[in-house]
Parts: sequence; structure tokens; C-alpha cells
Amino acid sequence: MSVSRQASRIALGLVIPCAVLVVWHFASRHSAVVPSVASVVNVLIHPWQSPPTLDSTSLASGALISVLRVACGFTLAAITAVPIGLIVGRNRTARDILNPVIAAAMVISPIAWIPVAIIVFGLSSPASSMYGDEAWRYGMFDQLRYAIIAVIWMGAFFPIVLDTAAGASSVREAHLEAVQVYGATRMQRLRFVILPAAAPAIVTGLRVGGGIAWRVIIAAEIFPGTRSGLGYMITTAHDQAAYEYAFASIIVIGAIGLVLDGLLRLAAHRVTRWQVKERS
Amino acid sequence: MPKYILFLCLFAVALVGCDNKQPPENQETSTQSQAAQDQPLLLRVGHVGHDHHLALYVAALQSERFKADYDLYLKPVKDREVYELIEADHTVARLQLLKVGGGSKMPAAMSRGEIDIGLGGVTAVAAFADEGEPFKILCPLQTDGDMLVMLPDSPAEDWASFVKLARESDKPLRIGYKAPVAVAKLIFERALQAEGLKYTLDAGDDDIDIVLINFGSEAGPIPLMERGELDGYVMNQPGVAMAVHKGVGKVIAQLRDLPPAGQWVDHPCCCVTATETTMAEHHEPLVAFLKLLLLSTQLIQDEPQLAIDSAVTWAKNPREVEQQSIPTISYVCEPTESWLAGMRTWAQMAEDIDLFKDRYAEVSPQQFVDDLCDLSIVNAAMKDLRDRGMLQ
Repeated sequence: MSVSRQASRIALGLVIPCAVLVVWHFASRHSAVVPSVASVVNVLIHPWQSPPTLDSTSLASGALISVLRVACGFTLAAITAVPIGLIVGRNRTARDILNPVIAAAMVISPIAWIPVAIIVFGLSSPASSMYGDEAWRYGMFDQLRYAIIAVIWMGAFFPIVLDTAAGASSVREAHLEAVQVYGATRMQRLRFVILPAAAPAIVTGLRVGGGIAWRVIIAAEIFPGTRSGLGYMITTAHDQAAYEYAFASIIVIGAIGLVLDGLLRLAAHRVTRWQVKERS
Repeated sequence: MPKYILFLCLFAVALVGCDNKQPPENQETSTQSQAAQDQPLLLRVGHVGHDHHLALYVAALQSERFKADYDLYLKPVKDREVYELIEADHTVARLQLLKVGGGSKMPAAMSRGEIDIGLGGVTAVAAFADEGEPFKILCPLQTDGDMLVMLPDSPAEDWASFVKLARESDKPLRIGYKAPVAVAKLIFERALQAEGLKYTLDAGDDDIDIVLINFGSEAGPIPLMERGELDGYVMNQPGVAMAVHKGVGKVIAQLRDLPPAGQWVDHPCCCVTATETTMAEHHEPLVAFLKLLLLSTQLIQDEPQLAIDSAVTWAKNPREVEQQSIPTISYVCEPTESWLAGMRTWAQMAEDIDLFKDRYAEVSPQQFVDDLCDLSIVNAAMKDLRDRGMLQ
């Protein structure tokens, strides 16, 4: 790509953010609630500073705990959804049993599960499971809260299951028959044919699930007893009319989401390279 | 793909490891159970985090002073979260402060067994008790502090001019409220009835003076006021002072002054609640806790500047907000006759609007107060402090 083309791409990419900044700047000059660009930038460039006008941990530690919660919920979703998706994709009985449940649960917003998660898990966390009343000593470990993880899991699980199932069911029978001729065991068929063939679909599911998990965290962090996280910071900033923290949190959420999507896109690219070669 | 999953797992474990700033003093499994046995009783206290619960925050922030003056104090174990309640050099209990949210969130958390003691609104506690939850109100925390706020350019300057405006306005006035059973909303509705003003919760109704709109959160009205989508709202502090501070509203009436005249003076707002189980099993720690709140409330009454400083430090609201908010709230921990009368008035109002469906549906206001409030613990605490000359 030529230098001028690259410069033009970057310039075009900056048009909308710059326009937003200009509109935001003028809006804040005539508003008591819209924070100034400078005040939000000030929050962003001091991420470790404890907010002086907000009952919350710092922006950086809030982001860290949010990322940790999403990582746990998403990992759990991936570990559970991929095997189930493979079974659903390859086994008709399993498909008949699970499809109606998955189809029904899929359309329910993960946020709708928040009250259920509170009832089921309360304030319990890995720390409270291990240390009971002493859980508060374990900081972030106590803030992981099963209820929050469960809601994130609900958000990420179904897209991964569906895409994995779709990938597993689309494996060419000719490939399976070919390895069977050579006496491949069930595990070998799974490892050398089904998994590689379904990998692009699995990665797509993981990308979609990861995006949903990251979106869900904001709502999930309103759980009682929570004192950290970007979602908590936005809610508290709204309650205390300290909107510069809400705006800063939104920007950080966008930035982390961008990085997360980039990582998953990179993973998808690596996994699907063979598919591109096959097509060409 | 497993590599990425493994990476995420390792990342999670690494972060957890990084945050163990306060590891247990004794990590050895063999001694852990013994250590657990030596730990003091843990009581989880649910609170909201704003200045209504200032008595608790003053006690937490003035640890040294309480220790020196009363020998009853909160020793910080983990700032803003865990404190040891110490009386006469004896650790009575360890208190874990959990921010559970306002309105029905506190009694809901207590109902789920997540907290043992709750600081929160009388109305929400009564609603849960009506449904059969074994909750008792132990004592008040504060009264008053509810206000009617209007847009800065509104012609209404006081309650009389507000009533006139509502009657003469071409369009219904849009007045916001925080929650369906919020004290402010219930008082406001009764005042509108007393004035003969017609109001509705449904914007589609015709021939109406006032439309009531639920804005749903502490700071919910501020953006709506700025956009002119509300003409005003009724709410508790510090949400009122916040709007004034932001320049989007002006206070035109304290709800304690609304009609019927004299009915709302010292109207109950927040209180201390516990389950019957907690009361039966942990009587002494509760007495000590209420003694602490009584002394803290006395300090708030005697030293308004200390109260404002403490609210700014704990709630982290701007100083200007707390300077406006705190003088309008009556901090009271003793169940005075005035507070009990306010409770009976509130019970009558709840009956009038059919708020209670079960346990309190058919009881008199006095029976309601007798059943919902158990003042034996606070009375024991007050007696002890008075005997020792600590409480005025």
C-alpha cells in the first residue's frame, strides 16, 4: 500500500472521532451535565488515581477487574460451549434434545439473567468458597463474584455453541470416510478432521461470544456488594452526577473492546489460513 | 485455540495473584481452621453510601476519637470495607460494610441472606416485612431531607405558587420521582390530594394537573431537568443538593412542610434493620453497634462541620453539595415520640393507598409500629450510654 493511500486511510478513520470531539466540546460548554473534553482526558491520563469525587476504585483497577471478570466468564463459556457444540453438530439425538433449549435461551438477553444469578449465587465468589468469612481479604479474587461470571457465561455460551455446532455439522463426509478407510479412531477423526474443519466456525463463535461477554459486563457489574469495575464506575458516576468518569469509562470500554476484537480477529486469521489456501 | 484459552487462564490467575495485597497471616492449611475459630464474629452491614447513613461513616472515619472518648470504636481492617467493632478493648464483632444500593435493594439483600444488618428506607423494609420477611426496625437513622425541586426559571417559588402554577398551566406539570414507594413520592401524592390537584402516573390521561414520572435513580433527574423533560421532581438528599449544585434546579419546598399541615414533620426515612435471627443470636454485638451509631449521631448533631467533612470524605460528593444537603437532614438514632408518630402517619398513608397486601393489610398504625419496630436493643444501648453519662 502506498504511503499516500495509508495516510488517506488514517485521515478518513479520524473524521468521525474528530467530529464527535468538536460536537462534544460545544455541547459541554452549554451543559451542566456533559463533562468537558479536558476533564475526561484528565481522568484518562491519571488512570491509577483514586477518583476524588466518586465512590469507586481507580479507572485502571476498574478496567483490570472488568477484564478479569470477562476473561473468567468467557473462558468458562469457551470450555463448556465448544464440546457441547461439537456434540450437537455431530450427534442427531443430542441435537434434538439441546436445540430447542439453545434456541429459546439464545433469544433471552444475558442481562435478563441478572436477577436469577443474584438469587442463585448471591454475593459468593471463589474467595468466599475457599475462605468463607475471610473472603474480603482476597481483594480482586473476592470481587470476581460467581453471579457476574455466570451472566457473562450466559452471554458468551450460546453464540459459541451455535457456531461450533454449525462448523461441526458442515464437515465433509468424504473427508471422514477417507480417514475411516485408513482405520482412524473416533478420537483421531475428531482431532484431525472435525476440529480443523470446524475451527473457522468455532473462532467466529468465540469472536461473537467475546464481544457479547464484554458488552454484558457493564450491566453485570451493578450487582450488590460490587465496588469495582467499569460498569460499577459508570453506574456510580451517574448516581453521583460525576459524568466525566462515566465518559472516561465508556472510552476505556471501547478501547479494550477494540483490542479484544483485534486479538480474536488475529486468532481467527491464523486458524483460517488453511481455508483461504484451500479456496485458492 | 487451546493456547489462547490457556493464555486467558494464566492471565486470570496472574491477576488474582497480583491483587493479594492482604494475604492471610497464616497460609498453612493445618493452622487455618484454628485461625478461623479465633476470628471474631462477622456481621455484614448493608448500606447505600450517601449521607443518610452518615452515622456509620462518621464512626468509621473518627476511629481514634471514638477510642479516646468512648472506648467504643471501629478499628479499620480494610479501609471502607472491614472494621472491628471494639468495646473496652474487646473485639465484639467484625463488621463488613457492603454497598448494596438504596430502595428495595437493601431488604432484598437481607432477604437473600447476604447481609445481617441493613441501613435503608423504612418504606422498603416495611414492604418486605408485609410479605412475611422476618425483619425488625431497630432504630431510626435520619428523618426529613425530602424536597420539591423545580427548574430554575419556573415561576413557582414556594408550595402555594406551585399549586397555583399547576392549576393554571396549559399543560400538566411533569414531576419526577425516584421509586414507586419512595417516601418523597408518597408524601407528594398525599399533598396533591390535600390540595385537590389531579395527578396521574399515566401521561395519556386527560384533564390532569400533574404527571408523575419515574426517573429511576439518584442522579436520574439531572439530565432530564437540563433537557427540560421534567418541570421538577421530589426526592431525598443529596439528590436535591446535587441538582442545585449543577444549576439545573431550585428548591421550592421541603416536603415536611407540605399539607396536611404538620403531618410530615420528622417523617421517617432511613433506619437500621436486622433479621429476627440476627437479633436472637447476636444481641450483644447489636447493642454495641447501636451504641456506636447513637454516639456518632450525637457527634453529627453537635459538630455540623465534622458531619460535612465526613460526608465529603466518605460519599465523595462535592463539598458544596454536602454543605447544602446535611443541614436539611435530621440525624436521629433515638426512637423519639416524634419519629414514632411519623411511623404511624406513614402506616396510615400506606393503608390509604393499599400499599400493604398481607401481614399489615388489616392492622392499625399502632399495631404496625409495634410489630415492625423492636426498640429493645436501642433502648438497652441508650440506657447504658446514659448511665455512663455519654449520651445527652
